[in-house]
Amino acid sequence: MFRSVGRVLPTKGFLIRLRERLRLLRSGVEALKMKRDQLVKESQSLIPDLRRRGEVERKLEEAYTLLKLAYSAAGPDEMRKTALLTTPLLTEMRVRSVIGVEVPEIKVVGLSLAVSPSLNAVVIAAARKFAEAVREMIPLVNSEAKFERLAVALADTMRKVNALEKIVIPDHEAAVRYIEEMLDEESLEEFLMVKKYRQIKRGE
Amino acid sequence: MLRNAKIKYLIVRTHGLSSHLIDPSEMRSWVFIDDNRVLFDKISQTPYGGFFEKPEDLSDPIKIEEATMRVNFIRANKLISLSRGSYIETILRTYMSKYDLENIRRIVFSRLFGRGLERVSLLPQEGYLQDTARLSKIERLEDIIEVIEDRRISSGVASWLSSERRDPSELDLILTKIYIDLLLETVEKKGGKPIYEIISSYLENILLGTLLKSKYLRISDELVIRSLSKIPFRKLIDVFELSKDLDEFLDKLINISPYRAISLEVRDSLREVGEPWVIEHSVSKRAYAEALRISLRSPMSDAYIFSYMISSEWESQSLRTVLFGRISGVPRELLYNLLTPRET
Repeated sequence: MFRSVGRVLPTKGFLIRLRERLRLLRSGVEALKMKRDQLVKESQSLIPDLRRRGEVERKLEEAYTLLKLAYSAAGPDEMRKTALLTTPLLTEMRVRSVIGVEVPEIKVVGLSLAVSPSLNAVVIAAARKFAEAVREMIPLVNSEAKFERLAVALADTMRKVNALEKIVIPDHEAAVRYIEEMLDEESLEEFLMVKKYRQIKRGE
Repeated sequence: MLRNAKIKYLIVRTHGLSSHLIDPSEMRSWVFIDDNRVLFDKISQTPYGGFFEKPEDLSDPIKIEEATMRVNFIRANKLISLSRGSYIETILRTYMSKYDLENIRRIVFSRLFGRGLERVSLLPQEGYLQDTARLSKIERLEDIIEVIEDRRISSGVASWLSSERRDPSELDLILTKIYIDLLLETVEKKGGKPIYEIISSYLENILLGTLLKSKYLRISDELVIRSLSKIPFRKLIDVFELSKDLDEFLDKLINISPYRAISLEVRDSLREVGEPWVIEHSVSKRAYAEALRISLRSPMSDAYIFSYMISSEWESQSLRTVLFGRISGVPRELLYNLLTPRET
């Protein structure tokens, strides 16, 4: 009958506990609603960053075009030589909490090419374009990862709010009403019993 | 008299060898061939044919690298063996020592940035003035000084090693300067002759490429000027010194007629792509055109031998561009333009 409440005992003690729980649930819903609004706000603030995806994709496309040119004009051997002078892409990742949602934050700490005039210009050009594209891609990656996690948390919060508002709280309210009715009936019955007893005692 | 006869024989022999060079316009037309089989048949008739067994090999980067490198070395070694004991042998060996210097660069760079030698691919040649096998066995970067056979190169590398920054650009500039000095020394007694002209023009192109890339990479002018001090080709160095960046350098070069075509080509690539990616091809194309011009003026001079070597290098580079361009799907028109001399 009251699936989200569990076993219902029509006692005054249980009613007090149930009312306390209901009060807690209502304040919980309020808190969750505040969290939901905040998550929506945070997600919306990321939209301008996410719109930069097209620009980053264009940069990557340019970099790939130059990479193909580098491959054809300089050959893989020359590219291997250039790779000797590069620092591999080094990133640092830390996890930040945004309204209780853990979001990763990646920072590029090392990505460089020690330049030298003996390197082929087309390979340097491709390496530079790639480095530029990766540098612009990392903030986008951060924003997308943050948005994804916020979206998951938002869906989760909305599900909880809905469940509480539509099922748990109504169930609890119904349980409280049920216990109150039961207790009222019990007290009325008791009152009638006492009244009857007094009449019998008075020999009426 | 006999020595003269030997040189004359060498020149005539080089004319014979030149007939095996692929016509540049035909090579350019290969970029439009779709069918691997057709292209394979065409390449099979050239000196590169022996390195490709089947049409699929034309898509194998290792085989392409191998073929284009080795044909060039085979041609140079042939000329060296024919010119044994003559001044041409010294010039040829010094000319080809740029590949030794390239191997030194690769070894130093790999050691400097903590990569094992197994990850470095050295150019497949024994060494023209250096012993590549010994160079490749060094344990520590500092050991290279003991192994380098030329005193000037070893002291150049030693001074670079003792510098605090160990900037790769500085080493590059030092080695370029040494190469220019060494090669010019071999022809200094031939001043005014076609061989001096062709070598001098070739080195001028090397310097031009180095200066263009130095501006592109924003290497400090002070470092470039210091490293290339006392180098000939003052005009280029002066223009370099007066320009604050690559754009200005190109603008100034455009107004100097011998550099107009190359500057325009580099400037166009800079404007279109934002990067001057054509520098190497433009410089090689210019070197090839200049060498051809000088050798055609005096086809029976010893300059013809070097014109042949420069043409051979341009041919290898062009074939690499055609084959790698096909593999990576670069637009054919772009490849074609890359291999076509620019008209001003």
